[in-house]
Amino acid sequence: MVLQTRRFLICLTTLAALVASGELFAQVPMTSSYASLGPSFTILDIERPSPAGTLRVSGVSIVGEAGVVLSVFSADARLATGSLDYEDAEGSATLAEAELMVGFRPLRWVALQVGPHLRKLDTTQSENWVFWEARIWFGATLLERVAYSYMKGWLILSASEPENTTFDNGFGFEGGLLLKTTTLPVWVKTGYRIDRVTFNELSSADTPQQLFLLFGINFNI
Amino acid sequence: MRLIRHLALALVLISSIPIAASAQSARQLLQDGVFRYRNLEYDSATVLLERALDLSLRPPLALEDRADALTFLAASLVFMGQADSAEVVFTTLVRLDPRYEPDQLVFPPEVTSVFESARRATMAIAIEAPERTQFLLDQGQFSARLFASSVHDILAEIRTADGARRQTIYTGPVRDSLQLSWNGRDPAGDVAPSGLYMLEVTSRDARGMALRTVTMPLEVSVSRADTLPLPTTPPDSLFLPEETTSGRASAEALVGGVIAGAAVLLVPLAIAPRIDLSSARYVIAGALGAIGVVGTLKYRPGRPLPDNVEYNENLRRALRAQTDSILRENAALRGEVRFVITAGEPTSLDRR
Repeated sequence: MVLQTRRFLICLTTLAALVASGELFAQVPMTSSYASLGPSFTILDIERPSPAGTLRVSGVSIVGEAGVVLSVFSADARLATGSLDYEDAEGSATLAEAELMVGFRPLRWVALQVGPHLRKLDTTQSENWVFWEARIWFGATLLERVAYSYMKGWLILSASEPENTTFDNGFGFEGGLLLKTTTLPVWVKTGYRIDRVTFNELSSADTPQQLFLLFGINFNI
Repeated sequence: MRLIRHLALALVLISSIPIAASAQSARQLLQDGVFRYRNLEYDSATVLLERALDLSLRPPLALEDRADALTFLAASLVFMGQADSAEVVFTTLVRLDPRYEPDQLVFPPEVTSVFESARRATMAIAIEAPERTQFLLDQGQFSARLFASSVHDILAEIRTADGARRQTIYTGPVRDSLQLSWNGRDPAGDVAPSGLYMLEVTSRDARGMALRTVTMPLEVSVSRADTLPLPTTPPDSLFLPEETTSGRASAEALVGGVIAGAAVLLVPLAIAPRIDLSSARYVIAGALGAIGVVGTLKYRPGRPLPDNVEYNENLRRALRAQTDSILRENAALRGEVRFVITAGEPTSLDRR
């Protein structure tokens, strides 16, 4: 596991150095910030050893994102919280997540991010996780000044797990579409997001999926 | 010793007398002549006044004193029974100052009637103009007022100092006075260049023969406002390409749409193969793919870019508007021609 993580970090660093060497100094320094808010339809699959088996909870969460971009550097925060209902049983679970990623975007179409990701899951018992994640983000222009696509994948480098739990591995992916207006600094973002955390020697996993629709605004600082 | 001292004092006094006499003699002679006239000593008055009028005296009489001297001289001659000589003197007076009128409280009718006779027979003009006149072309003009001794015809011209170009500004009769004006243009309507000009007024008899010419020098200075430079043609780098020239944007839209859409479909399968994944991701993948295809077609090489065409047209329109504005402003500035005319002392010349 340690070897895999080290290899991943080496790959990320190499990639960052390669892309930064070409266009980094051609970037125009720009300072801006953004904020967005919107609903997310969330499905959480909770896999546990028998006899518990796999449980699914789902419902609507509220998602908020905000960030600051300073030249090629960025800081992005994301909060999501919602009460999710069991699909095959009575009761509900509460899922709350918070992320803070600092990033480096050497090129227009790629960025590297790292930071903590906190997850609090309250079912019959409460689980509090702190993940340290490394992410890579890709973006592309579909229609000039109107439509952009993006996707990002991440690896959980380490985790601070709940009691009686041993973290194994974790991955995530998010892909989506950003629609802007040409006249106003507002935008809409919609996307799909999934991540999977496996623990207790691969016997357990939490897999949240989100389909979200965020309404955002940009601010020039 | 005392004798030497007296001689030295006498020399100093004698040497100082001519200076005082020459400084005051013309005026003193005038005062003495007037004094003799009032004492009815017309012979003595005549001698003194003629001497006062001697132009070789330094300083000579001023114009006003000269007119007084001539008047008292003519009046003395009238009372001495020499009316013809008096009329000649009055003619000289009228030519000297066509506006002069003897004071009727001082001089009796037999004197003023001789003056009137001389004035009517004399065709003389005086010119008065401001020492300095400033005006903008087509917004002002140079003005001079003519004063005539009697009704007669005149020809008023503006000419260059060398007489190469002449422009008649008035021809016709003048009675008491007449206002002349000049707008700074030559007969062709062009702006007169800077230089020395002459305002020349010629008195003419009934047959049109020139009798007398009065000339006033005019120093004309013409200046024009500076014009603004026209804007330079903007460099090509300011214009956006009006059609797609490379496939980069098209490829980016294709890759960014189709690959991102495929990733939304496939990557979750790799991350969570045993999970029943949300079918909502098909919506996102479909939207990404569709917009990616639209972008691919929109940015295919050689395709017109209407936004860029509009941007460039706006840039060109703004440049044309700026150029037109400057051209209008320059036209106004070019029209702003400033004249400064400095008038000198008039001189007269008898043509007969």
